[in-house]
This record gives sequence, structure tokens and C-alpha cells, in this order.
Amino acid sequence: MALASGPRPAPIVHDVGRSAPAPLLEVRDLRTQFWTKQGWLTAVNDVSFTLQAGRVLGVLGESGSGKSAMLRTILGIQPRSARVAGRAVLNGVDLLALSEHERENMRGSQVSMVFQDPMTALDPVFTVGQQLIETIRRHHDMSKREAAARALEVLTLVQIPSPERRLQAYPFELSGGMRQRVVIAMALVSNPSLLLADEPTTALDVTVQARVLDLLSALRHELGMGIVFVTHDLAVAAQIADDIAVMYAGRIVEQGTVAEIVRSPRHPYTRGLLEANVRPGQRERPEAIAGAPPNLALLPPGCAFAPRCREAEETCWESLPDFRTVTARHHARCLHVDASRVNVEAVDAEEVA
Amino acid sequence: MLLIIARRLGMAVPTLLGVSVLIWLLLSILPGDPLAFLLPQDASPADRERLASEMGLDRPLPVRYVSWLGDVVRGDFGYSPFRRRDVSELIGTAWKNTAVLAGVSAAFGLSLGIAAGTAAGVYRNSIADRVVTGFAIVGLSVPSFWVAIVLLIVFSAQLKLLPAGGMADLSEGFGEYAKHLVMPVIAGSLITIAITARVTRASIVETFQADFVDMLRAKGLREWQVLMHVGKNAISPVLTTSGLQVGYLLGGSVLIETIYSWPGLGQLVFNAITARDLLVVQATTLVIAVIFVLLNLAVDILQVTFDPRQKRAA
Repeated sequence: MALASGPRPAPIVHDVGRSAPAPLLEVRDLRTQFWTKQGWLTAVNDVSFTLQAGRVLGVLGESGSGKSAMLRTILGIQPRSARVAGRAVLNGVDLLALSEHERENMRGSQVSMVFQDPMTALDPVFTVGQQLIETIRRHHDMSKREAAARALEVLTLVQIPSPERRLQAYPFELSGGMRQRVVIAMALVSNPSLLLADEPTTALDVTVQARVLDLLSALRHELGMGIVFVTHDLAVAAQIADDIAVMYAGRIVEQGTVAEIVRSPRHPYTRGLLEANVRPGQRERPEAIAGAPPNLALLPPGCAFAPRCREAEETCWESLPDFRTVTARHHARCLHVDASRVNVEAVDAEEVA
Repeated sequence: MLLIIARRLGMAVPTLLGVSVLIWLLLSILPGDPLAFLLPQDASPADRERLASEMGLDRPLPVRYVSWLGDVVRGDFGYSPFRRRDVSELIGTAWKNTAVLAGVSAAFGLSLGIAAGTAAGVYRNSIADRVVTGFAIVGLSVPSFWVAIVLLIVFSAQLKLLPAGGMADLSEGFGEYAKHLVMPVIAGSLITIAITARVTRASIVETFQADFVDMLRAKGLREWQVLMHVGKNAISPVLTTSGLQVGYLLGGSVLIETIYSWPGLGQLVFNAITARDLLVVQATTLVIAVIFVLLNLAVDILQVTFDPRQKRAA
């Protein structure tokens, strides 16, 4: 992953290097707005990032920060009433410029999504096999029998025990972890090059969560997929991701490699997130970020985090800071990037994970 | 599945017994004299007692009930002194006529209601949705007998397009037969259309909000494929109300059958109540109760075939 360019003027373009392969996914100035009684609400606000094939980008943020809306917009399943702008270029094709018909062809074949709650993501009145076979046949010219064989293959791939029997099962006959494996299997039927994961482990027990994370890591290496992994859980992001983008109020406020974000967070919001995390052996109460996330329909002109920020100064309220470079891959949308107020007791990546 | 059916049929027996007891009790409290219509004006008390004992009316209620029940179990519903026919024969003819009317009304009303409700649910807040929703409210609030009378005035009295009532025999030709059905079917299925459309719309709208719909779209399914999934998930409440609707229609609409002089169960029971023809009322009620029990069973079986989770509940 490389960078997020700030909006004009003179984006702080990070040089990916000429030798770097063409990115798998390049999202530029993505913006999603919903109509509400208070006017247009900007759920995703000029989000830009790049994802290389085989890498995992963890998108971290609290609920309402626009993480899910961003994934849905990339996939094209945002509510019809939403207003969308920007580009999302997958393998050289701008998904947002495609016709609805063409996007349907891309969904589930080149780009797939894994949903948060496996209890409700599957259609309850069709068997696992029916749902898998229908997905396979939607994208491949196969007989039912061939599709069933492929369904068996993907169920084996996601390590479901006795997959033949699961094909006949209805979702309600499976446990939560099993269902999430089925959901993942369904996303993988066409070997997508990009997987969008929307908090895929949040609804699961901790032990099941760890196993699903291991599975996704393994699959990513095995199939060479790029993954955008949305979560509110720093530990989960640190475990699975190569890079992390922190979202706040619809914008990416900081991004960098996992180590950079975890060891030397530069945005006060990121620091707040880290401090809110309980580390093993920690005695004192974790410190929550004071205040509440802003109303996305009534965003202030400046930094959206300013009202909650201990370091905010007048400029922060007035104009939105551009991205500032910390290291080649580490950027934060904060005036105080260089202020060396880096947490001395910086959380160790290993500790968090 | 067979086990479920057997168990449900077993459970139906007490239901039917209860219905028969209730209807006996209600009819016995009902004011009015079942003999009044049978006796001449100047009948003496002795005549009256003789007739009462002929009909078994002098025996106490529980005894009469038990002996009636014994006859019914053997398939004998008794004899109607008013109509001078066996009750089973009366019900047999009326039932066939009502079944024709109810069948056509149900097919017409349910298909139109489901189609309109689906269109309204899929294209929510569109003009089509508003038309359907508006029609459904009107259909539910306007009494069917009023519609029946308006139809009569317009199509029969004014335009002279349709016969005012009665039922044609198939020997008179299919056209004539169908012509007699038009108005009773429209007036009788109005409520069915309205209820079915509303329930279908609500259920489709709700199902479209389910998480799995996002997933279906994320898999790249075409919109019509998504609709297939939504439809199968949304059908449960539609089946439940449809079962009730068909039940009401098969029970025979007293109002519609009386207005259009359709010789069905509704008219039969209406006349029987007016004349205190107790045996006919009791038998008809029992038949309607049986119809409801069977329909509910059919609906439950359909529910399970659409939604396997309900196997546990059944």
C-alpha cells in the first residue's frame, strides 16, 4: 500500500517506485453521501489508498467512521439513494465507471466480500450447497454437477469438516464459525483478486475468531488475494494486516505499516485508540477517548477530531490539515505529526497482537 | 412429514368437538322457536308436542347432542324438515357451488394480490406502490356488499352486460357460466386482494432489508435472482393470510351469495338461521370448521416446504 494523496493542492505524492507492480486496487477521492433530513451526510470523505496484490490493508475505526460504507461503495452495493464520487480502480478497471450489469459480473468473481454477521449473511431457506452452486454458476458456465464439485473444493479450502454433508445443510444447522467459513468459501468460488472483509470476526467467539483470522491469512498467501480488512479491533488489525489505515468521520486520518502505526502513532486519534486498548498485564483502566464521534451531516470545516483533541489549536478548527509525511509510507492528517509527543510507552506490536 | 400430518389431524379432533359443542350451546340460547315455521298458525299444544318429540326436541340438550354426534360420525347429518331434504344432500350441492365461487375468487384474488404486493414492495415509494397501497386501503375499508350492489347497478341494471344473479349450469355454455361468476368473484375477492397485497408488500419490503440480500448482491447475482431469494423468504406471512382468506371464501360469503343469489353454503346457512333449521346450521358450521382445519394443515405443510426451519415448530 502506498499513500493517500491529500486533496489538491500539490498532493504529497509518495513515490511508490517505478519498479513497483501496478497496484491491485487504487482508490482515489472516494466519496459516499447519503441523503438525510439534515441534508447530505458524507459517510466516506475523499478516501484514497492503494493496495498491492497479496497485501492486507487493515482499516481501523469506530462504528460510524465510514469503514463499511467504503467497502460497500467499492463493491457497488451501497444503498441506491447514495451519491458516489471518485474512482476505485481494480486491475486497471474503474469499478465506479462500470454499468450496473458489468458490476454484477465483477462482484463475486473479481472482487468479493465477507460480511460481519454470519448468522444473517446467508439466506436461511436455501441449503449451503444451493447457495454455493448458484454463485458458481452465476460466474462460470458449468453444469450443476461441475459446480457441486467446485463447491466441495471451496468448502475444503476453508477447512470445513465433512464438506459433503455441509452441502446439504441449511445455515441454521451450522455454528457461527462454520457459517463464516461458508461465507468465506462463497466469496472465494471464483478466486477473486480482491477480498473486502467487513469485520468478519467481530460476531464470533474469541477462539473461533483466531481460527478464522488464521484461515484468512493462509488463504491470502495461498491465493495471492489482496484484502481490505475493516475492523474496530486494533489487535485483530495488527495480527492480519501489513498496513493500517485509521478512519475517523469518513476520512483516513493516518496510514502506515502496522509497526509504524502501533509503535509510533502520530495522529492524536490513533494514539487515543491505542491507549483505549488493554494490554496484557495492564493494571490501570484503559483510557477512553473523551467525547463522541461527530455528526457526519454537520461536520466542522476543520479537522473532525478537533473537538475531542487535547492538542487542537485554532487552525485545526478552521481548515482541514493535509497529510503530512512521517516516513516514506507513514502519513497522518495532523499538524502535530512532527511534534515528538510520541507515546514513550508505545505499545509494542507484539504485545497488542 | 407424515408424522406431522397425523399428529395435526389428531389435534384437529378436539378442535372440531369443541366447535360442535359451542355451536350447539349457542343455538340453544338463541331466541326463536325451531317449530314455529313448521306448525300451522292454529296448531294445538298437543300437535306441537307431537312434532317436538318426532324431531327429538323434547329430549334434554346433552342427550340430543350425543345422539347427533353419533349420527354425524356415521356420516348422517340428519334431515331438514324445512327443505324436505337430507342435510348432507343440501350441503353437498351448496358446497360444490361455493367451491366454484371460492376457487375462482381465491385464484383471482391471491394472484392479483401477490402480484400487486410484490410490485409495490420491489418498487417501493414508486407510483405503482402508491396506487397499490391506496387501493389496498380502499379495498379493506369499503364493505364488500356495497361494492356488490354498486356493481349490480352499473353492470346489470344500467349497462345490462352481466346477469344480476344466480348460477348458470355448464350445459348453458361456458360463456354464460363465466358471466354469472364475474360480479360475485370481483366483489367477493376484493378484500382478499387488498389483504394479500398489503401483507405481500410489507413482507417483501422487510425481507429486502435483511443482511443476506446484501450478500446476494455481493455475490453478483442478477436482480431477478435476488428477487427469487427474497420471495421465498417473504412468503411465510403471505401463506398464513392466504390460508385464512381461502378459508373464509370456502366457508361461503353470506353477503355475496345472498346478494347474487348464489346457491352456496353462505346462502344455505343464512336461510337455515332465518328458519331456525338447526341441523343445517350445525352441519354447515362443522363443515366450515373442517375446511379451516384442513386448510391450516395445508398451509403449515407449505410453510415447511418453503422454510425448513419451521420443521422444528411444526
